[in-house]
Parts: sequence; C-alpha cells; structure tokens
Amino acid sequence: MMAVFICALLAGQVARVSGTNTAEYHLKVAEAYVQKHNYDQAIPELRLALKLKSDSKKAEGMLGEALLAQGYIGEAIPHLERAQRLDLLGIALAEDHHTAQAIQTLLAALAKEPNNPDLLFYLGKACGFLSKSSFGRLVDVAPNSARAHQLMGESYNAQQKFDLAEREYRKALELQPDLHGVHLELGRMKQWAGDLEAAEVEFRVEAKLSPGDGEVAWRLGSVLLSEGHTQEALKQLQRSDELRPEMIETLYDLGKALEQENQLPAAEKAWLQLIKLGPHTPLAVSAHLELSHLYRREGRAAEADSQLQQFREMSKTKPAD
Amino acid sequence: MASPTATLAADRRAALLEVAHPSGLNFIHRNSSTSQRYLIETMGAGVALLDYNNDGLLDIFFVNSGHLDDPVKPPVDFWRRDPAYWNRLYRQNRDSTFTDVTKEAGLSGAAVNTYGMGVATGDYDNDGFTDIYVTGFPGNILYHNNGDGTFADVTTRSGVAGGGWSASAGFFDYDKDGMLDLFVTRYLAWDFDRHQICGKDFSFYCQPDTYPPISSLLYHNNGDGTFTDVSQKSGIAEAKGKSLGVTFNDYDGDGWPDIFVSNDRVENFLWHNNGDGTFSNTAMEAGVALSEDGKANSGMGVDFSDFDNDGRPDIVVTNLSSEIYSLYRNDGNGLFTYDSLPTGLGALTANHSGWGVRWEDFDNDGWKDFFAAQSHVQDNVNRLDPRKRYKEPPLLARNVRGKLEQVAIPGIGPVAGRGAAFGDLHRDGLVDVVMSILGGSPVLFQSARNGNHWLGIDLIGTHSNRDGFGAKVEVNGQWGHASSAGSYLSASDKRLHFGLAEAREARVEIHWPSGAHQVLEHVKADQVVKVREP
Repeated sequence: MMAVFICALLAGQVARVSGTNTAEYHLKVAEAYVQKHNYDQAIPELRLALKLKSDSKKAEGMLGEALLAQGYIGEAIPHLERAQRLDLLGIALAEDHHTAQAIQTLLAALAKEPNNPDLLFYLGKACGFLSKSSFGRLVDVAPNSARAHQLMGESYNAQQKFDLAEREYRKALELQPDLHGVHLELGRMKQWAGDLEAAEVEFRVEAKLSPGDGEVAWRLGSVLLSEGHTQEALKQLQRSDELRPEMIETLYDLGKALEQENQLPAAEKAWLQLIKLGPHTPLAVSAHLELSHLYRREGRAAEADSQLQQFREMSKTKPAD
Repeated sequence: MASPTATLAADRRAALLEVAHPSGLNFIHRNSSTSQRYLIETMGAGVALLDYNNDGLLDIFFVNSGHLDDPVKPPVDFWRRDPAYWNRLYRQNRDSTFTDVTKEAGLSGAAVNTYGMGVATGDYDNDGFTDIYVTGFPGNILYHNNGDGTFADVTTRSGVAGGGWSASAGFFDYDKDGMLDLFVTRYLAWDFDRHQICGKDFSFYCQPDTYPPISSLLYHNNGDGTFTDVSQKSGIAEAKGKSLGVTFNDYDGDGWPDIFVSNDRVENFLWHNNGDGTFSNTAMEAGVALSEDGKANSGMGVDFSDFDNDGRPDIVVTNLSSEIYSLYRNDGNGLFTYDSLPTGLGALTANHSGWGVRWEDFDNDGWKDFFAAQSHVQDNVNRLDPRKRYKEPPLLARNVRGKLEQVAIPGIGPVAGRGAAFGDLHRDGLVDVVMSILGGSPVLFQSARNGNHWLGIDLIGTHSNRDGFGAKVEVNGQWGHASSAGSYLSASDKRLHFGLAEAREARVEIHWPSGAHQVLEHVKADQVVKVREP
C-alpha cells in the first residue's frame, strides 16, 4: 500500500517539474522521500541532484540530514557545513565526539531557536561528554592534585556518599588550602545534614577566600539566619544583595531577616523586588505568603488578602476542603 | 572564685533531666511491624499522667496498639484480649514504685477490637475522678472512673465511639457550660482495604498523600453522661485534614477556648471559637497554617502555651526532618509570627523529627523549657536519605529568656520516641516526663534538683468544669492555661506548674471559664495549692 501511495505522490509532484534529469527533479523526488523518512531512497536522488548542481545548498542540507538520519555521521558533516545547517551540524558534531566544536555550533543554533528540545538535549550531552573527558584526563594526569580530590569529592557528593565526599574535599584542602569552592560545597553538605554550626564555619572560610562572591555571602547569611543570628545574617545578606542584586534567593532571605528586625518597609521592598525579578519562581510563591503576613501585621487587610490569593493561585493550595 | 558569668554558664550546662528506672514499670508497647508496612504500625502510641485514685500521686496509663497479621485478613483481630496487647495502668505507690493495676481497674483487654493510638483525660461528669478516653483504629473507648479504683467502659452509652482512624484527643469546655466536651482528631480516611504498598526497590510507609483526608470530631457533653456529635453543627466537619495533634487555648483573649490542630502535609487548623457553638478556621490569616515559606509540613505534636512570658499563648508544632519544628509567636492581635529561626528552635531541629512536645519549666527558673520526643516515621529512612536517622534521642532545650539552648540528657540514646506526658511524678516540685517508645519500653525522665522554688496549682471548678480546664492562670508574671491536652497522642497532669526561681511566695490570679476572677496574694512557694472556684 505504501509503495502505491508514494508512487502516486511522486507522480503528482514530479508532473509539475519539467524534465526528469534535472537537479530540481531529483531534489523534488528526494524531498518526498525525506518527508516520509525514506532516507535510504532519498540519498541517491540527492547525490544525483548535487552532481547536476554542485552548489545547491538545499541538496547539501538534505543530503546531510539524510546521511545523519541513517547514521553516516562523518559523511554528513561536510554536507551540513556547506549547507550551513547549524542545528544538524551541531548534533552531528556532538554525535561524532567533536565536542568542543559541537558545543560552539549548538550554542550558535540555540541563539536562533532557544527552546529547541533536540538542540538543548545535544548541548547537554556534549557538555556532559566534555566534562567527563576533562575530568577523566584530570584524574589520569594529576591523580593526587587538589583538583582531582575536589572532583572525587563532588562525585561522591552526587552519589550521596557524604563521608567519602568530605574525605576527598579535606584532602583537596590539605594540598591547596585556598582552593575556591571546596568550603562552599562542604558547607552545603553540612547545611543539608542539619549541622548548621559546621556549615557556618565552612561558609565563613569560603567568604574569606571569595569576598566578592554573592552566592557565598548569601549562603553564609542564610545559615546565620537559620541559626537565629539575625543581625549578622542581615549584614551578609545585604552584602550579597550588593554583589548580586538579581539573586532572588538573597532577596527572599533578606526579606526574612529584615522582617525579624522589624524593618517592615525594607522587607516588603525585598520581597516585591524578588517577585519582579522571578515572578513565576517557587520563591515568588513564598514571597506572596510572606507579604500577606506582613500586610496583615500592618493592618493592610485588602493587600494581605490579595497576596494570599496570589499565593493560593500560584501554589495551587486550596483552603481546607 | 568563679565569676557570676561562669557560674551561669555552668548552670546552663547542668543536666535538666535524667533517666529514671522506677520499679514496677514494665510496659512494652506492641505495634507488630509487618512487611506490608501498614501506616498505623509506625504512628502510635500515647501515654497519660493522671491521679486516677486521688491519692495525690501521679499514675501512668499507657496505650498499647495491637497485633497485626502479615498480611491482615478479615475478620481483623488485634489480639487485644491477650495481656501482651493490653493498655496498662500503673498505680504509683508511696515509695515511688509502680504497681500494674490494669486488671483490677477493669482496663484489661479492649472493649472493642481496636488498634490503640492515643489517650485523653478529664473529669467529664464532674464527679471528682479523672476519666480516660482511648483513641485508635477503627474506634475509640471512653472509660468512666467509678471512683473506687475501677473504670467502666461507657463508650456505647456516651456516644463517643467515633470511627475511622483517630489520633490525639482532648477534653475542653468549648461552650463554657461547666461540662467537658471532647475533640478527637482523625488522621486519614484509611482502612485495610485501602492499604497500599509504597516503594519500588524497597518498601516504605506510604506518605499521607496516598490516602484521602478526613474531618475531626467534636462531641458536646450533654451533662447526663452522653455526648452529641456536633462536628457538622459547629463547623469542625467543614475542613478535612490529616490531623495528628490537638491543643486548646484562648489565642485572641476573647474568653473562649480555641482549638489548634496539626495536620500531616495539609494546612494546620486554628479553630477560632465564635462563642455561639461554632468555630471558624483562621489558621491561614493568623499565620499558623504553613511553614514560613508556605509549605504544609508534616505536623505531629503540638503545644499551645506562652513560652516567652508575654501573656499570650504561642504554638509549637513538631515536624519531620528537613522541615524544622514550627514555632508561631503570638503577636497579640490575632496574628502569629513564625519564630522558629530567631529563637534557635530551627537550628536545633534542622535534621530531626518530632512527636510528643511541650513547654515545661524543668529547672523552675521561671522560663518554660522545651522537650520533644524524636524519631523519624520511616524505620528505614537512611535508605531513603543517608543523612537521616530513624531513632533519635529526645530534644531538650533550656529557655534562656526566649532563646533556646540545647541541653544533653544523660543516659538516653537514640530511640523511636512517640508520645510524651508531663507532670511531677515525684512530688518534689520538678516536672518529670514519660516518653512512649514505638514497639518498646517507655522512658521516664526526672528533673534534676536545684534550689529554685515552684508552685503547683490544682484547680477545682464549681461553676466551671471541675478540672478547671480553660482557666487562665497568672503566677508572678507567667501565664498558664489549664488543660491536660496537647503533645502527641498523650495527656499530661491537669495541674499547673510554675517555676518561681528565687521567689518564696507568689501572687496567683485566676480567670475561670465561668468568668469568675480570683486573686491569691502571698501564696507560699514549694507546694501544690488546691484552689476552689469562688
């Protein structure tokens, strides 16, 4: 049945093309095959089209696409390059493990189609491959370096093997005490484990190493806030906000610290700014609830109700059944 | 010579509680863990401190759970007639030993085939003897105290059998008619037919989200030994929750007792008493429904008392690890502020799971300290998250003018703590704790002696309910609310306890539920004073 259908289709399309041995004719035939994903039949037609018209970018692109679809990646790449099909070229390069070139090409393609799922997938894959090969090389060439231990620490951390992760992080710090990012990770691990005092110690060291890092200042401020050290937390959070004014995590905690210090207008400002910067984020949902409480405390009932309503809508929580 | 500061620091490090091993207390809670992981297995059970025979000594009642076949097949039999599965009443003797009086008290076995959960205490018929209400699945039992050392099962006649899975309960007089009414939380719309097994590589207890919510129950005391279910009429049934804890206090100072109910991954309820027999849920507007960032936590144990001595009752809720416990400070205008972080409670509970809870002044310094029974709900939680532990020691924290500082309890390791009841077992002016253990023997903690003074108040209502539940009592600037309810599945001594620090006498001011106002001047410290309503 399918063969009959394709024949009929070809007859209808080809009838509109004058001559049967022109590049246009073969291109049309190939196009019909490609539409039906019959790449193996499209490929000879495209080769003929290119033979007749070697500068046909369309034929180059379609041939590259068809070869890529059939798994002839190495052969597809020059055609895609000549056709300047950045999307498919990026994918082909990624599949062929030309990782650095693939990442560059995929980023260029994503600039035109930022939400293309294929491109996003292959960019992630290529970056993952690049990271894996870089890390593999790091462990091969410098297995006892601070960075290698840091890497092992991160690997164990991701596997939730926290004792092993900490051991590796500590080894890294023994070798290079001023290594950036290790105390931050240790602090995060301690914070997640509920050991806030230990987390604070780590974040303080990291903050000394990276005084210009807004995230570190936020982490330190956040853990101080959790420990009930509101005034010191406030200083750190304000510093974080100065360093990275767009960071909504800082703004949320800053609002909390300011509210605890009874600086209600400043708290309101921080939460409103958060909602402005990230209106659809989970933190914005929390900020709406915080604002509803703040407004109720200030006797601004209508505004409190409005914020509560927005919290309800965004969190999809209902009043009790 | 040590400086005053050093002495204070040393005092703060001193133990507040220590483990005691009283003779005769041989209860073992039996929950019957199965491979099916029925959720009821991991939730019980409660404990009560009460003076059932009015001899001035606190006695202990333990709720037992029951046997579960693996898997359970109909007809369901929890083997409650087997002595191993009885609830147990231990009478305290003059020498601080205990005697198991379960059988002679008429409490052996369970009158209906229930898997036991919680206990509430109160003198519902104003005869001067404390009655016992036991909750469970699929129904509850009311034991009337006959006043001669025995109890009678009056469940059927009284009409408070309930149904489904009940958890914490409490007596209070919501309409101030002088008779104690009864509030019963219900956890989930669950039964064995609805049971599901959760987990792929390994099984774990299903999250409460697996099962539908259910409304709690409110019973009005008719004054003739019967109760009427007013859950619908009062508005309580309008909200379905997954309720585990209940506590009472008058949060807005309007003279009517309100109800706070903790819910498991559902918004908490704050039932404002409208004074006309109805209640309105004001939790969201008051700021006590959710965590600070808007999440419905795994609310379990509750307490509703004034931890910061500002005259306004605050609310604390124990949650699961990673959630921190919720402390809502009463701002005095019907609103609460989430105060877990500034008080230090958040830092102390960042990776802990809590159940029975209460503020009590263990060192009599005039500030109520914090105690919580702890353990995760999942006995294999470390397989789900290696940072978490199933068994945990209880949390004890000293209240230093509203800030909490953890204090170690010598002699206690990680356990599966659940219920906790509070009272002065040893008549030494120090509050003790009995903590129930899931599938194990309870632990008794006694307060460590110090030189501070104290005052106990035993209310005797005349126009108000005889227990005086709902009375607001001020002693030297501290406030208490008369109630045996709160914590988790448990009931504490009905008497109020106040630490007086160095004061040798106290001014006592009582606002009775009837409206009567009573002031006692120059009350001598270090005694339990009986106060009869004028």
